[in-house]
Order: sequence, then structure tokens, then C-alpha cells
Amino acid sequence: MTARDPKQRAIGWFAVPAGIALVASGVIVGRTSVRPAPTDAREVSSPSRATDDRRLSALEQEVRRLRVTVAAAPREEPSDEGDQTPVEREPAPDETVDPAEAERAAEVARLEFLDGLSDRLDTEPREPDFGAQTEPVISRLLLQHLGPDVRVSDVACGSSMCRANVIHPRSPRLSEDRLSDFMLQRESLGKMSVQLDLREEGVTTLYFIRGDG
Amino acid sequence: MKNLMSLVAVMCVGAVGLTASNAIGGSTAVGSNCHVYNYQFSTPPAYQRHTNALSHGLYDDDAQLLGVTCLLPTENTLGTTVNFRARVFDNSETTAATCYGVVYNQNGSSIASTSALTTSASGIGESTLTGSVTVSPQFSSYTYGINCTLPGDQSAIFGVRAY
Repeated sequence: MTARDPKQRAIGWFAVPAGIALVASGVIVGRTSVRPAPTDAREVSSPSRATDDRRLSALEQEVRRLRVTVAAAPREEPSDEGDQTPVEREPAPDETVDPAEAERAAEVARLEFLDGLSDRLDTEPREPDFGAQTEPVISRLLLQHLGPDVRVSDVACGSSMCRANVIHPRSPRLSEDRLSDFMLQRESLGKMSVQLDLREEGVTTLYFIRGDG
Repeated sequence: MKNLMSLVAVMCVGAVGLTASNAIGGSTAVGSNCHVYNYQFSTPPAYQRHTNALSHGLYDDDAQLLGVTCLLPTENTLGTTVNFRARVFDNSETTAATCYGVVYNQNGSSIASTSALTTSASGIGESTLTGSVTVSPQFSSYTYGINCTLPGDQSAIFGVRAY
């Protein structure tokens, strides 16, 4: 290969694609925008022209039908494309929902999730070794880290999880710093993730779940 | 010409990089964004010696643990499985570094916690701790954090992530 002048290379880079693009665009524009008008009333439509006309007629009918449908539709369902007039963009679904209502819905769903955990524990078979080893540790560590003002009751294990109620009548919620101490020093319980049920003030139910994370 | 080609290349790379599929929710914080919440000391030692990390101020392997919390602001609602990652430096020959990822509701109460994330051996040096927890249902007002206890001898936390 011979070394070429940079200007020549630049021309090579641009001239060839630009030429191709120019020819292609000319062909496309010519075919789509320039439709030869019939020059003679006696001109006889060819079979292909007749087919095209039928298709165009069908498309026009379809467009009219869609316009009627769109006009009758509620405003919150604007068409996604093809509308040139500025349309106020709908906010994201999360923003259309009343935050308070969304919060209530999330709370209900959260309670259903926690009820599901409770039901699972109540229905699953008890694994005796797991329960015998884990239940005393739960009681001991909760009492050790959550302070003298709490009581621990109803500690129960199945095969995939355990549950414990912590009763703290002097405060509606458990102290977060004590809870953090417990979480960081939970010894063998550290192999399990924890879900907390806060639905009732003065009582916190902890679920210790094996194999979740 | 060369500059033009470079510009085109950069625009192409940018277009690929900005595709919607790459938008992944999550939050990362450097260790110096964490703060001490529990010294467990009678006299708090100097602990903030780095621009990008938070470290235990004492050179004693058996020093009392330093409780740190790293809160992670998240703009996007995360999925129902929340993953946590913490990069720590465990320099104590006697005590491990331990962390856990936590999910708070809008009132600041813990509603879920990962299992304990602990360095595999004391004095292991730099280590990445990972864990996850189910958050069902996920909700935009939840917040996330990683709480740790750092042992002595300049053990540190470099960075945390929730995603």
C-alpha cells in the first residue's frame, strides 16, 4: 500500500459514504413524495395500481377508526407516538399514587408477608435438634443485649426459622442501639437473617430465618 | 479528521453506555461517610485518620470494639432482595470485624437484617463482606445501612454498598 495524503484519505472517508447516502436519499424521496398524477382521464389503472388503491383506502379507513377510538379514550392514555402537539407527560406510576395510600398499601403487604412467615413456622415440621440448640440461645442473647426492661416470650423454632416475641412495655419500639448490639453480637444466630414485626407497640416479634442471604 | 473520528467514537461509546438497561439502582459510600455510633471506650480515641476510610484509632489488637454505622442514601427503590457489600480491613490478630446490612422503615425502625457478615479470620487484612436479605414488599421510603464493629489495631472500613 502506498502512503496517502491526509486530505485524500479524508476525502476517501467521506466522499464515498456521502455519495451513497445522497443517491439513496434521492431514490427514497423520489419514490415516496413524488407521486405522478394521472395525465389522462382515460388512463387505465393497472392491476398493481388497483391493489395499491385498495390498500390505501383500507389504511385511510383504519386511520379514521383509530382517530375515533383515540378521541373517545380517556385522556390518561395518550398515544405514545405520532402526536406532534405538546402533551403533558404523565408522571411515573409511583408519583401518581397518593403517598399516604401507597404507604398504607405497603404496610398491608408487609403484614401479609409477616403473617406468611408466621403461618410457615406454625405449619412446618419441627426439627428437634435445631430447636433445642437455638431456642435457648435466642432467649439468652435477646435478654443479654436488649436490656433489663424487656421480656422474651414464645420462642419457637421449626425447621427453617424461629420466632420470638420481645415485650418492651416501657417503650413503643425497641432501642435501635441495643438492637444493633444484639445484631452484631448474636453469635450462632448470626447465620440467620432477621425480619422484625413492629405492628404492635410494646411488642416486637423477631423471625430468624435460615438460608436467607 | 482524527479529532472528528475521536468525537464520533466517544459519542458511540456514550450512547452505548447510557442505554436504559445499564440503569441499576444502588448506593455506594466511602468509609469516611460512616460515623461512630458506639465507642465502647471510656475515652474515645482518635479514629478519623483517613480521607476515604474510617479506622479504629488504637494499635492494640484487643482494644474494645468500635461501633460504626454507614447509611446509604438510595434514589431508586431497590429490589425485594437487597444485597449489601462492605470492604473492611481487619488488622486485629484476636478479633474479627463484623457487619450486618439493615433495612429501616420511614420511622427509622429496623425491619430486616442480613445474617452477620464477619471476616473469615482475625487479622486477615482487606476483605469484602457480602450478604443479602429479603425485603417484601419493597418500598420507596425504606432506607438502608451497614452497621459494623471494628476491632483494634487500625482496623478500618473502606467502603460500603447496597444494591
